[in-house]
Amino acid sequence: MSTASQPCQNWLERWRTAVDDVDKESLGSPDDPVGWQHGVAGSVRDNRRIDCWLEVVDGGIRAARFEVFASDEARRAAVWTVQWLQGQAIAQAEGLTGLAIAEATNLPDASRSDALCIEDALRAALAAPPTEGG
Amino acid sequence: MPAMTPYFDYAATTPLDPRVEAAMGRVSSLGGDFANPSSDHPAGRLAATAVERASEQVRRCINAVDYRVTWTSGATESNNLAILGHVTAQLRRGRERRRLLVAATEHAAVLAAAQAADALGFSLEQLPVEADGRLAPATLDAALDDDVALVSVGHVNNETGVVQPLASLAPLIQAAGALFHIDAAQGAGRLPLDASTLGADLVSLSAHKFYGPKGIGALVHHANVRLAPLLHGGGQQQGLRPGTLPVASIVGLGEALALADDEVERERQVSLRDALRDRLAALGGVVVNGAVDGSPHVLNVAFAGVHGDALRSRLADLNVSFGSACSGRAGASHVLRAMARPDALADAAVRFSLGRFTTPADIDFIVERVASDVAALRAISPVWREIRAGRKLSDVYGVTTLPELA
Repeated sequence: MSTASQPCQNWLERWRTAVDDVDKESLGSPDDPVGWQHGVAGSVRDNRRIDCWLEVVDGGIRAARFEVFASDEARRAAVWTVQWLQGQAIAQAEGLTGLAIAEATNLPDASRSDALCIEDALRAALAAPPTEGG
Repeated sequence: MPAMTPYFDYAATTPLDPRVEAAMGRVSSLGGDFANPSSDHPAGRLAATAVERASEQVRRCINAVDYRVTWTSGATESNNLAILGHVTAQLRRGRERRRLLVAATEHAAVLAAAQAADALGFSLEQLPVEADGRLAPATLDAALDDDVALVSVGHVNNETGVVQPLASLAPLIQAAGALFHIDAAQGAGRLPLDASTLGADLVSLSAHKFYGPKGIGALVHHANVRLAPLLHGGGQQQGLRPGTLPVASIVGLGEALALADDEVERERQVSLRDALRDRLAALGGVVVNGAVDGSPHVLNVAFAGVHGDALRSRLADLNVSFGSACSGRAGASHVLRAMARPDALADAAVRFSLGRFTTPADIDFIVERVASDVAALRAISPVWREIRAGRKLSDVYGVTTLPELA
């Protein structure tokens, strides 16, 4: 069997790079988690776990990140949620529901639980104290 | 058609060997043995001779000298004929034995056929396997009694490449007076198989697993074994499996099996497989699903901290398997569950299966791709973060023990 031709391989590389670049801005734990609020939802046993990290300053969300151990749809929805949360006041963030996330990202019905998990992780982060160093 | 990435799914099927294709072509053409081997005229008798030659090739390759070869559409049919054909024959002859034993990791074709025997008054017991996928002789021994009609064990597991200790299991089965069926679909043509020395009563084969044509298989059975047909119609194959024999396909199976097993090629594949395993292991958090001395052509690994759905999505353009092609089911496989892999880890398993045309450059390609995609998924995974921070895999996945990492 032949290996992928050069043009096909380049397209794949560009697609994956584009996805990974967006992911790096929105996903993964913060480099220095001190001061961030961290919330967890789901479990490995349920084969779905999503963590939310929030940098809250003066009652508003300066930055947000998610960690995702879930499907590709969950990853997309988490990226959307990060972009939505940037600059939002806490009160607005508290009003974001899984249903709204699912509708905004056109999640298929089978993935709606992922959106609920994102909501749960966000609420847990909003309720958490800032992470301490040491 | 877009160019494809290297093929790493030889356990699902193999390309047709050009020599086999040529042999089949010679049979099919006007000057060849294309006639119906059941026809009582010179052309039919030539075709029958070609069929008998293929039968001899099969008998010779698996040392089944006094055995009969019944041609089928593939190993699925062979497995059904072995199990349900024997069960039905038992009932007709008023035999008392009513239990069937199979390893819990057997192919769906074996499990489903054995479960179907339930409607005929037979009970199925699935025997647990060890964490490395092997059926321990002690486990089999504890289950055997004089009510066991048949034991079915796969030579090589299609998902993990685990090679069952047939030489240790066979004497126990014979001592209990049960029939011994070997599903050799994945092992024939890849590893030596000696039906006579093992005392196997029935052996299932499938041509497309060893560079033969698709749609043809065989059930090789000892002359003493009684089987009832599953299909009814013409009198071909002594009525055991009626239907016009596909001479070209049968010739193809015989040729392919005769060409397939090659010690030098086996060692080459072992070397490639081990290189693949070692290079993937360098990623860390890689669980090997199977034994170190498994079949040369299969490597099944799970990537800790990676979500199965996301992994399948990233690797969708690769010719690998995420579970048996035959099962067609999503989620953790019954084979990995039987090996006590937690579902979330089993869901992140990938089967790489090598073959005659796999090259070192293919290994380079697949390692680079998989490493890159696994790294990307781990970079955003809270589960991998915790594992990297020192949390034990067994704690993360909620199990008592996990096999060693590669």
